Amino acid sequence: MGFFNALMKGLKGLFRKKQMSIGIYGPPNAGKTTLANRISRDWTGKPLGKASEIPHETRKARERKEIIIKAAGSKVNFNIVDTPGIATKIDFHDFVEDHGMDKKEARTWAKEATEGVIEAIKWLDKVDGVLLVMDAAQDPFNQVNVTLIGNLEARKLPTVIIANKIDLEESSPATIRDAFPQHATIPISALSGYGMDNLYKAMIKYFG
Amino acid sequence: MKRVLKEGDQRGVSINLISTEKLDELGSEKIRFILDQVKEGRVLVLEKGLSPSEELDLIRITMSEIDHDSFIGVETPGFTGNVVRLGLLQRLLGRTPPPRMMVVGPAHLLKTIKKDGRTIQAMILTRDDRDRYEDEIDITSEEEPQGPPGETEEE
Ligand SMILES: Nc1nc2c(ncn2[C@@H]2O[C@H](COP(=O)(O)OP(=O)(O)O)[C@@H](O)[C@H]2O)c(=O)[nH]1
Ligand SMILES: [Mg+2]
Repeated sequence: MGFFNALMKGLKGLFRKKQMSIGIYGPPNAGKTTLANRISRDWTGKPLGKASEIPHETRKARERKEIIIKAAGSKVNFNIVDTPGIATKIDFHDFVEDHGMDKKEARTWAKEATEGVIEAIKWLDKVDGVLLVMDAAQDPFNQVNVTLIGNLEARKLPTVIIANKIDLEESSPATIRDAFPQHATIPISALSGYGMDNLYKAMIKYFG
Repeated sequence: MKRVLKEGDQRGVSINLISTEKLDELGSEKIRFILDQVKEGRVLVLEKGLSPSEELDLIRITMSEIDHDSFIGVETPGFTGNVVRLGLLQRLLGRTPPPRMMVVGPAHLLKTIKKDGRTIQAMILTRDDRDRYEDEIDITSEEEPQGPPGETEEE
């Protein structure tokens, strides 16, 4: 019996897919945390972090392990990592002018945001795949998207592009698809949940 | 008498064109060189842009050097990393596109206006646009003219 159990355990270990670490990446405010929360809620019942209209709300990476996604007849165990938005510049004045923070608060926020970007970049070494979130109502050719795609390709990391916010009238997921035709693009609204089924299928297909 | 315009007169923004030869020569010092120049308030036009991993290094090091007063980051209009140019066959063969021309400047001076896969419009902000930084970013202030260009300078 001991032998049999050990054998079964060994076999299970052999056949069980390892946990896939998936990083949610993109520029600030693309909807990364909203998406991370939706995925986490859909499969574990719990959210992951705080989403907000203030850029760089997420200033530390957050991960949730054991998110077991079932779609298209298979299931995969994911570790979802919500990362801080990547930017090439961070100006504390923006937080004062656009979000009514006082100067001191804005400076702290901006400082933490710069550290968040560095942390997000570090996480690239640890993930097995990336959900690259873009705001479909914005120009897809921004430097962050282009730089990220270049690096994901250079590292041969499986990537699925999320064309988010398609509930907005001015959104154009086709523009994203045309800009990066070499990758799968899944149009969703992380806010309403529209398109999530397609996303889960794509996650199983490209990351599973 | 003819007036000789030199950097430090502070009326304009210096735009430095950096050749491929210079960039290759810089090797691993490339990012340091670029950031030092940009932090001096110069806009660089790189004949050969950065590779994706160099771009990421530039972002990472920029983030660690932002001080919220004199340096708020970089603006980098360019076509770098744009894979669209390569056909499917070339991509299947594992070809990566060569880095393309790229502009790097201080984010408080340079602003990308419009960008599609084929054209980029960027603007160097005039003094009025920069008013909010007047007392906070000293690279544009009149009392502190920049020193003579360093030895790595290409003039
Ligand atoms: N209309 C719309 N807004 C969204 C959607 N996803 C996120 N948002 C909003 O975009 C803002 C930024 O979202 P957040 O998840 O914090 O972005 P992050 O910075 O990428 O993590 C918030 O105000 C969200 O409510 C979406 O699918 N549609
Ligand atoms: Mg977030």
